[in-house]
Amino acid sequence: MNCSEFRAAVSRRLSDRASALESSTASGETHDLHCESCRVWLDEQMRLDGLIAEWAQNSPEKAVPSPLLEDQILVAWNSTREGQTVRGTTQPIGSRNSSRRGLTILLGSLAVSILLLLPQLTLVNPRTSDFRIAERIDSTEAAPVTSLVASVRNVVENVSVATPTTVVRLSSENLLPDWQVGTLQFSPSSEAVPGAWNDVRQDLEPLRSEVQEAFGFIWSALPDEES
Amino acid sequence: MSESDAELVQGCLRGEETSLRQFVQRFQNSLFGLCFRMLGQRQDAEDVVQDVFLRAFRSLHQWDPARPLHPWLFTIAVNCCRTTLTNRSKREKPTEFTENLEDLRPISSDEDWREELQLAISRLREEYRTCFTLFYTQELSCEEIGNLMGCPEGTVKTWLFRARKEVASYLRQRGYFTIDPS
Repeated sequence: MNCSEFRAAVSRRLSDRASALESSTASGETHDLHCESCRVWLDEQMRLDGLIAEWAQNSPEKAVPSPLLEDQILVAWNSTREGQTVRGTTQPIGSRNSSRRGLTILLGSLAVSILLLLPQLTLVNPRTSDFRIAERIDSTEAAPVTSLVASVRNVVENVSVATPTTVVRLSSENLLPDWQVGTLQFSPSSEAVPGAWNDVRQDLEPLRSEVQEAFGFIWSALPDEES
Repeated sequence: MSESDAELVQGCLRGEETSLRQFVQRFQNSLFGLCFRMLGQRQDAEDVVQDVFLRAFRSLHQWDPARPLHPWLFTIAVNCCRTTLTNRSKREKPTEFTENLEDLRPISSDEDWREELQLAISRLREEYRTCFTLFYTQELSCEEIGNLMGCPEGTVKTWLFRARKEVASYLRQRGYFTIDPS
């Protein structure tokens, strides 16, 4: 039996309420006779046993409660019991019924309120409400903005009319579904545009296409002219 | 379970004042001893004992007469003590200055060493302290402590072993094992 086995065996027997000396005897007295460190350890355990026994037995004077504790407990219990009685059994049945009736009325009115509010809540769809707000802004407060947008559309429309490619026209039609772009005829030699301007437009055409592709989403976001 | 315990409980359930008083008288010392050793403070122990009795009176109708009454009360007491210790640990701890002052106190008598032991126990982890106190002061077996604390017997043995080791370590630091036992 080595040192750790010896100490483990003694500790196991200590938890069975054997003293350290009894434990060492049962666990292998030959070991502690030859091992100095275990002999010191066992001596400590025996002294600890003695101190614990004194501690557990020789301080009963501290472990006696105050003589007033008994009365305090009974007074506290009686007051608790009376409190329970007042809250519970002595409450008049009529008052308990009225409390239940009040609760029922409260819950019923709450349910009716929810039922009445439900259809209105359904109508207040976020998309619908946003649309209505947009309409209101267009018709009243945003009149200057609308006119500005119309003039911008006019300018861009003229440019798209003068565009020598049908692709641009088609994209312009797609961007302005409510516009009458499609009815206008493309004419490369239109007299409305001078020849010099045609050259300039041709030079600017790639740039315009790029700008239109890049910022086409803004165009599509503009409100209709009619609104 | 002694028959008188059952009769006492029946009297308490009927609300008889004499039974209630006798119930308190019978168990208050052992419960107070346990709580005092677990908590280390008289006032806290008395508060907990009062709480234990109130809880017991409220739950007496749930007590199984086939089982002993004393461990049932101990279970309530241990739970109350653990709650108190948990709440106490959440409060502010003493400063290092006061702890150092405590260390400077000379230890000369057996009474002082018992107080040192109590101090060592109060510094243990709550589970260790509960095991140690129940094992050595109430002389409960590891199995009984396990039932009371709701853990296996092997766990109780481990906690007991570690508690004893930590107590020995503290006392060794304080010089208990270097003094002449005679």
